Amino acid sequence: MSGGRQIGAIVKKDIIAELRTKEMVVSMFLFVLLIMVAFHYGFGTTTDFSPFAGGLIWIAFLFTSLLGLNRSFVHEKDEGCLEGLLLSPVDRPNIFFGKMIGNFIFLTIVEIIAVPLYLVMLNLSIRGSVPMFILAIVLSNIGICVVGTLLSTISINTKMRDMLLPLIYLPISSPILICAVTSTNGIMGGVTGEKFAPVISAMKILAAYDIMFLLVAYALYDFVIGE
Amino acid sequence: MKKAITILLGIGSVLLLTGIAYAFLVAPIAVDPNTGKEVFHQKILYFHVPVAETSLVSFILAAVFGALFLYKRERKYDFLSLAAVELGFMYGLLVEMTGMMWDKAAWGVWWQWEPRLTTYLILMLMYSGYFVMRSSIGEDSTKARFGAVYAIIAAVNVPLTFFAIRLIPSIHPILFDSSGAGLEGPLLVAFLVSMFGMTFFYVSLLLTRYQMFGVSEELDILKNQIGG
Amino acid sequence: MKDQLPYVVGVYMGIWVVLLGYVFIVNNKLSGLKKELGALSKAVEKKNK
Repeated sequence: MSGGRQIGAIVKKDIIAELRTKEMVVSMFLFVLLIMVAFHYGFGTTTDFSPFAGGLIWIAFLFTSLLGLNRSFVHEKDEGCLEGLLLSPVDRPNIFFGKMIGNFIFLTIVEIIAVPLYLVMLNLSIRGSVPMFILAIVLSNIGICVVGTLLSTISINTKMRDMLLPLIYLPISSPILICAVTSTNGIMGGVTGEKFAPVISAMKILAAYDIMFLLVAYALYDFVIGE
Repeated sequence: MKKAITILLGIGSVLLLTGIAYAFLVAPIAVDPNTGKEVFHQKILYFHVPVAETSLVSFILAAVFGALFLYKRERKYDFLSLAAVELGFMYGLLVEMTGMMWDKAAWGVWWQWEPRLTTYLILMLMYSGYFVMRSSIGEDSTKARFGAVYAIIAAVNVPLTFFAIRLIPSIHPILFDSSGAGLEGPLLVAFLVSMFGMTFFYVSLLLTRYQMFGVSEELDILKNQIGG
Repeated sequence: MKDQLPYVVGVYMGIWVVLLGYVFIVNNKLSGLKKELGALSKAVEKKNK
């Protein structure tokens, strides 16, 4: 089987399993909603959320992604699927790409529903260009899923299991949070001219982050997934 | 090896002490170019920057040793990688400490969300994760494997974090170019002497930790003999 | 200068305390390990006799 078809098979397997139970997308979506309600109470009587719109969105998404990332491997490990995958003649990096794309799809689905909801319910609006906004979200999502998949494979093989993931994932994903917040804040605020420069450099750093960690994951996944 | 460690430690200490003496006795008190006032707390720099650079070097070394371990599968590289992370972490704590002192002396607050210090805070959190991860793994071989992988991931993340944090506009002006580029004459001499002293000190500490590895290795072999 | 002095002194003292403390702890551990090694190798020798 070629590399592309191997990856495709793993993604398909994850999607079929998800369609059957729907547990991941539903729980992630409910979690995002709950965080939104928590924000409302946490900020008291504030009605104008626009100055920190990006921050709200990304804190919510980062923690939501944590939920999904933990789930994606706990599942495999508990039901012995991981052993099956490792025994099958699939290249190890392809397992990584398959799991990563699966996580990416689920996170994106949740975001497609959650972003409009956040915009409506917190009275936010995108003043800048919408394609740029989407590009920022996609770039951040790739980073989140690459690093998250790599680290959740590590954490699932330790005794602490899903307890460990936040401890190593949150500091390592901090560049994503910073850049995502900077870029989405800028775009949602509709800044132009000189003030737009940080938005561009944030997106560049996001792209660099994605590429670097894709390479790192490709090179190191063999060692991570077990021998 | 023991001799080399002692000599390095000696050279390092002497150089560091010379650096301190030079900084306080010979180098003049720096003057803020903006306000023209004397800035005594600039003397912190002679230790703060060498410590920071040593810790960064240490983290990079940890990643290099990690990669060597994955490539050659020799336990000594894992031990060196662990030792480098440990030392880098300790030096990082010193960076935070001296940085906070600087903040307090310069701006009257203990903590400023200033780019470099914030980067270090995230670094410290990242490498705390390293220790937590290692302690929650049972087998030694997995410990070493994941330790090496994590050391590499963390080292790749260091420059990215640094550039990302610089995006956020800093509230306070930077008084001095703390890369050391703005230093001249006696100030530069004091700085370089401390820098070299710190490097020697660091190498001797790393070698001491490495010596421990040899002994514990022998212990393991003996224990296996008795057990078997 | 006067109000900045304690911080500068604090920094230099603190660094030395931490560094020397580390040297002390590591050497302590090392000598502990060596002692253990010595005792064990003696025990092994006895056993082999």
